[in-house]
Amino acid sequence: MLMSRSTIYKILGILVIMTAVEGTLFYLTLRNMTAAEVVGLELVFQQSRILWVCALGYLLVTALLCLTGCEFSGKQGYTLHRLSVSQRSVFLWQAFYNICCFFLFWAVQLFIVLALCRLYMEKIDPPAISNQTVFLAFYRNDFLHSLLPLADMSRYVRNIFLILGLGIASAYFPIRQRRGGTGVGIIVLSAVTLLFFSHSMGSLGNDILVIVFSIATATMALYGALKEEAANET
Amino acid sequence: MIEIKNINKSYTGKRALKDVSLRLPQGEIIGLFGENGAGKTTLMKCILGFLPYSGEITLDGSPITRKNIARLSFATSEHSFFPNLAPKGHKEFYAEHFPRFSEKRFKGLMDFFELPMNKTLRNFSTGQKNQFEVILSLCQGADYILMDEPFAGNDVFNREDFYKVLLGILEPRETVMLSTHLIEEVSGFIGRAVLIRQGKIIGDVSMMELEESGHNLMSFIKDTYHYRADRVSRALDELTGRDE
Repeated sequence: MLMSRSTIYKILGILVIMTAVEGTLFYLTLRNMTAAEVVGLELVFQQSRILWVCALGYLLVTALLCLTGCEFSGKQGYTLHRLSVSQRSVFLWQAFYNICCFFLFWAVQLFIVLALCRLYMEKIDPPAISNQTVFLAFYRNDFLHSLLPLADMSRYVRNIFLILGLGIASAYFPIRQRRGGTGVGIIVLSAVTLLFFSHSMGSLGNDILVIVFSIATATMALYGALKEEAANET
Repeated sequence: MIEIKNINKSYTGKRALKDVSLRLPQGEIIGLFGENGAGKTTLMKCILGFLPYSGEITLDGSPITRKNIARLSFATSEHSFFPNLAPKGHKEFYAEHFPRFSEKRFKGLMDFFELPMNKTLRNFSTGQKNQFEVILSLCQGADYILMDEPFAGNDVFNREDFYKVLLGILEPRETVMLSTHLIEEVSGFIGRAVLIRQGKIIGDVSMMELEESGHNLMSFIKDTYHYRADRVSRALDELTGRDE
């Protein structure tokens, strides 16, 4: 698939850079803290500003997925229109690919924080840690908890719908752009993600709000893409 | 054969095509001529199904849909290739999506124009981009090749070489519809001339008929357009008179 071919290496590049930057920031923060300051794993995560790096990485991946396929210096839509495969199929495959990319982003970010937790456990003197340290950090820190919500089921459901919504809305963006419009859904959903992703444990209202917003954005994108395709075919 | 019957197309109230009817049999090279805004590009886009229209366009009696659209290719000065992809990537993409894609012709034309295989298209010059756009349209394996101002930005030597190559490589089943302003350049290379003005077909003549009647393409176009040869001199007289 053309889309995956032109984005996968860039996305992997972003993830590699993100891993390196987050690892470096965490390591430096940990090294510069005195023994008295290192009072908790969540504090090291907070002070190393990993959340900001993750947000930047997320924006870059989203922008890449949205802008690839847009027409800036040509009319690639003319070529896509002449393929034997329908525009509906192109959109659905692109949505599937984008969902996989956002899932990969989440998985890599989770892998990074788990690896950093292991680093923390190895660097800190045994009396200062316990076998509950990582477990508690994932409950105390909003960002860690939102990445891996443990027993918080509503947050898992929210994350699944968020990934689906982001994948579908980002796939609709280039279609709208090629037709002279703007896919505002992904822009608004990205803003919602940045504002509401990190939230404390048990914020059911916040989770429901994000779920509803993700479903609404994805539904509008699906309806828009499939309706326009049906109109073109008739 | 592509058959166009009573096509009408409007853009926000302004009619771009008015009852256009035309037949494009296989194996012809057709020049489509007209001023800017005459409806040449709109006509091509309607044939390709890029624009909605009223009327009927058929390909061998069937409407043009996704099932038979691969029999049509399009080269446009707007460029329809993928700028972030190199020619090698385009070759693979086209070979995957167009079963009749000709790798042999692709390689031959790439060599002829001396275009690099592994450089992304966005780093090509405008002339090279035009050449590549035309190469793709010729290699797709289409029976009907529509070209809309494909040489805008190419030098005259380049264009002349291209016409010669095109005449040499076209197979009897291949039809080319070429929209251009370079009337004299293509007059020796097309077999039929179609004139469009304000969305209407106002002339349709084979080059053989023109030759037999002792006309050339330029004089035919000027006659059909009721071109007033004294227009420039009168305008100059008026302008210089005002100055005096």
